Amino acid sequence: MIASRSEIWLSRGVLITVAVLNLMPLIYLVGISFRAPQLVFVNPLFPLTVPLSFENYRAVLSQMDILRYLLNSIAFSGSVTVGQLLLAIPAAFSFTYFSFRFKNILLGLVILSLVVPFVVTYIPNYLLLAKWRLINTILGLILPMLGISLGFGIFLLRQHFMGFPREIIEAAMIDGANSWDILWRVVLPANLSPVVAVGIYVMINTWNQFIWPLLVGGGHPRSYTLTVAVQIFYTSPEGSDYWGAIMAASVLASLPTVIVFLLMRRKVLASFVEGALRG
Amino acid sequence: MATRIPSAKILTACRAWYNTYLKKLVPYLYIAPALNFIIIFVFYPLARTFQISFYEWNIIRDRQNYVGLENYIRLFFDPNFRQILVQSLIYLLISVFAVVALPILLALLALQLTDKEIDLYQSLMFFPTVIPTSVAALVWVWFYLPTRTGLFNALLHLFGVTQPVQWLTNSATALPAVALVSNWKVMGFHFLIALAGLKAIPRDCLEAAYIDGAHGWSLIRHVILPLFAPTGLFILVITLLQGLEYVFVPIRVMTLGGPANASNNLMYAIYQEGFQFFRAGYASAMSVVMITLFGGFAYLQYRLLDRRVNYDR
Amino acid sequence: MKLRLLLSLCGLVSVFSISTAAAQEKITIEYWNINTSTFGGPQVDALIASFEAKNPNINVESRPKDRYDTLVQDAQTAIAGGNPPDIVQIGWPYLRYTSATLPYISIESLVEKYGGAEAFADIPKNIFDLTLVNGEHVGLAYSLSNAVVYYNPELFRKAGLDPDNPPRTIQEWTEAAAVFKKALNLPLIAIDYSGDNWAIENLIASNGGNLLICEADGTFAAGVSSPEAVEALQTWADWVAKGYAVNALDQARTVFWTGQAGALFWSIAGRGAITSNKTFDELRATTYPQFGDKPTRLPTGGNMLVFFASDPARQEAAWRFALHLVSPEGITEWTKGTGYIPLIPKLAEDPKYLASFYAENPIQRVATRQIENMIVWTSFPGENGLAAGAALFRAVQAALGGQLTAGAALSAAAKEINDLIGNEPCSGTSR
Repeated sequence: MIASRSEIWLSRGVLITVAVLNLMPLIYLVGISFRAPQLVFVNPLFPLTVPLSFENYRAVLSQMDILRYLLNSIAFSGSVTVGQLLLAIPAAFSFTYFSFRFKNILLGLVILSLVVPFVVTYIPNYLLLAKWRLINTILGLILPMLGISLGFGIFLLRQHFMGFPREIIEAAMIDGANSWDILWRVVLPANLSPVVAVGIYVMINTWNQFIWPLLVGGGHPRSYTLTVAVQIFYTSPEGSDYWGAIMAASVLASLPTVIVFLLMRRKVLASFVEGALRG
Repeated sequence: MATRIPSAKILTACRAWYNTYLKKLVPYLYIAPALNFIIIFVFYPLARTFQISFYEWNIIRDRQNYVGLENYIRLFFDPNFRQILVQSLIYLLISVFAVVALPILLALLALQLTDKEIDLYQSLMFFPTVIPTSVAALVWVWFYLPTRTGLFNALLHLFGVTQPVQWLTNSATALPAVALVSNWKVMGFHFLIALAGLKAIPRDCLEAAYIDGAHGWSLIRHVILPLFAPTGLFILVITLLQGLEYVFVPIRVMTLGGPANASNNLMYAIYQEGFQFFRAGYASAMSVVMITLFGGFAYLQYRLLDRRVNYDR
Repeated sequence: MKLRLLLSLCGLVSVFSISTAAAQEKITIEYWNINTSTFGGPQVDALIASFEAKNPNINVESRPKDRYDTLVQDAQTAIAGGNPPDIVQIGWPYLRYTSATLPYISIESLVEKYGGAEAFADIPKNIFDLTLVNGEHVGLAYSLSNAVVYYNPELFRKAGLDPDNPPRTIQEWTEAAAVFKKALNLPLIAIDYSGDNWAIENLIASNGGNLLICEADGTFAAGVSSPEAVEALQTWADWVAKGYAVNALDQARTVFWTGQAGALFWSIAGRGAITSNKTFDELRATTYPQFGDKPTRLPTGGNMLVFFASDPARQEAAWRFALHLVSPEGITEWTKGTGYIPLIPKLAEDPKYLASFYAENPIQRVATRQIENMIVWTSFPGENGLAAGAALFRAVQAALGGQLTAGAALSAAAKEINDLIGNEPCSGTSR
């Protein structure tokens, strides 16, 4: 159209090469996980092996308490997602539709909270949880995560709410609805898409968290999340050279987010873009 | 003598009171829960960090030793700190090329393809972003194994280089090796954003310019880029603000800041001082310095974007 | 959305129910160690099992970590978090740091409260007092080891070296490495090091240097920039630069046991791990190399048991467990599985315990031959002890990585160390 035929093919070539290179590590990840343990280092250049061997998965599933870690990760991600949504939706609603004295200051505070790097919050939050005896508990994992990066959801949803036609709200007010009803019965149902988008974004990012769960939950295996468990396995001398098993464990830990991605591809891509462009 | 006030009047009085006072509280009530969490878990730590920076503390002693500005002064003269600052800049510089320039370039190339193809590339590029960083870093450790059986060394071997390179323990290669991992992970995400920004440019604008005689490079330079500028600027800004954070987990998994701080950066050093050397005061002083730098930068960005956006309108 | 809500609620409920273990009269204590399935893990499990059999109301949970420094850091983090571990294997280099910083329960107070002093009657006094700082015993000496050189006789033969006469001095090793590299294009030497300064201290001390010295004014000073120390580190750095030695932190073990290097400088405690992981048939070991004719000085590797439990019931349980670990049966089991030198040396000749084991394991005897060369593993004092150790470690990495010469790296490290611990009081005995 705008470019010549050869230019288009050149572009294609470049993009395909980059895409393949980009995916290589993941292809190796899966490929090595299916190699028999003694063959892992044979021919490192070829990612795939035939015949497939499930030995690594067997080892991982028998050595690691995968179910518990999975449940912990689900509880962690799920609770933070639901929690953040429950907190962000009313806040965004309020910032959009009410005018009140400290609105701009508070909004500024919310946005400011996003600039604070997470490293800074670790020590004080850890000590806070220690005082409340919440170390090595799921609750301890969840609570601070509800505040950190909450501003993102609030901001995003506010942007979307602002685009919602005012007339519908006014109509509802005339019908006698109070603000609570308007939020949950009018605005939210019509704006499910961005809410789901924010939810997915939060869920994926929380699932992939590692440093915080390691800090708060790494002390006792009962509170490991999946990502923490994989790392601990890797740094434990019995895992450290057992690359087949490490890869298998890694695949298992990535599976949930990848599945969500594949199933809700468009939504996921859209949610990440929304986050960016509205920012 | 109290006169009896009829109940109807009480009701109207109550309603009037509600309308004037309580109703004003409603917006705050909606925000309160969210704000509580943000204050307790983001702003309180900020304040506490600031406070701790004036003390010497190992987080288990009951008392903290007040040392005033000593931590800051020490920081100023610490050669390690200077090295860490320089390396933080190097990380950011690498990111600018790898996850700002490159994705934008790729997005420009992809612009001319069919929507279906674009969709395919988007999804393929995005995979790394979805996987947990800590897990992805492990694959890269495997790539970087210092024996002949590590992937990169095996590749080098093919090209005749027989001495395996110790990627993660060699001070020259450690930083780039780790930077590669975080950049690889984020590239797809920025590609996505860049594409979205490019696609938002109205087609008729492009076609009009094309008819006017602008082709290829000049089309890009004079029409596309200016309209794309806000998105491009956005990508640049998030890269600079989050770049050090993105590389945190790879450092933690792969090199622990080594060898000899060769792959360390400001964020990781703060974590190290706090949870590995247990010098909370020193770590907090570093945090304050970092926040000041970042805060200043964020403010600048806010002003710049603001002006840009207004100009656009 | 509803489904997700449901799922997360289910998750929450199940997790809460799992983690709220029903209140038991059993006491559970945590034993933090660095033992894994290839390095002492099975022995730890066996010792726990035999202890629990005799003490049915105590449940011991083994919590292995990968390195000594991680162990101390995690312990401190846990203490800050209100969950002090009950009994921990603290590596020797963290003796002074523990004494200065962590809330340990001294052996004296434990003996006073719960008795049990008879158990250490047979432990030699100089070993028992390794944990003595400022008049009290910070912990119970437990694991002892020294550095040996394992080697692969098959590779030696292939390279034209004589496996029955391995190199004895640093100079001989350098010459052998040149031959080895020429013949097989592989590094001869792999030196295991990660997180702490044991490897470099073996070299520095054997060359006559000291990591810490006690100055005339009664404070500590860094000894790492002395000519002996610089020479030691430079030797290692030169080996790496010429390809005679591989620089791979603790991957050095893998490099050796997969046959990619001819020899491994590591602790005798790794004997079990190497034996089970090696891909070649015969394994031999020899004594640590000397610098010229200076006798080797080998920092004692291993760990001591330190107690942090604050709850009296758990304290007592942890104490009983420790007494079990240092009983003759416990020590026998421990030495057999790991390679650690037995806490009670006379067990080595006792046919009831370790005599036959020693007869069958010539490698173990290499370590025994070196007992007279063992010195205390230096521990950096005071609260900045961890940072000081890290400064030295960085200097080693800088020199090995070729960024700096050994001299420059160690001078910078000495300055940093003096800054951090220069004011800590010492009392005559250096190190």
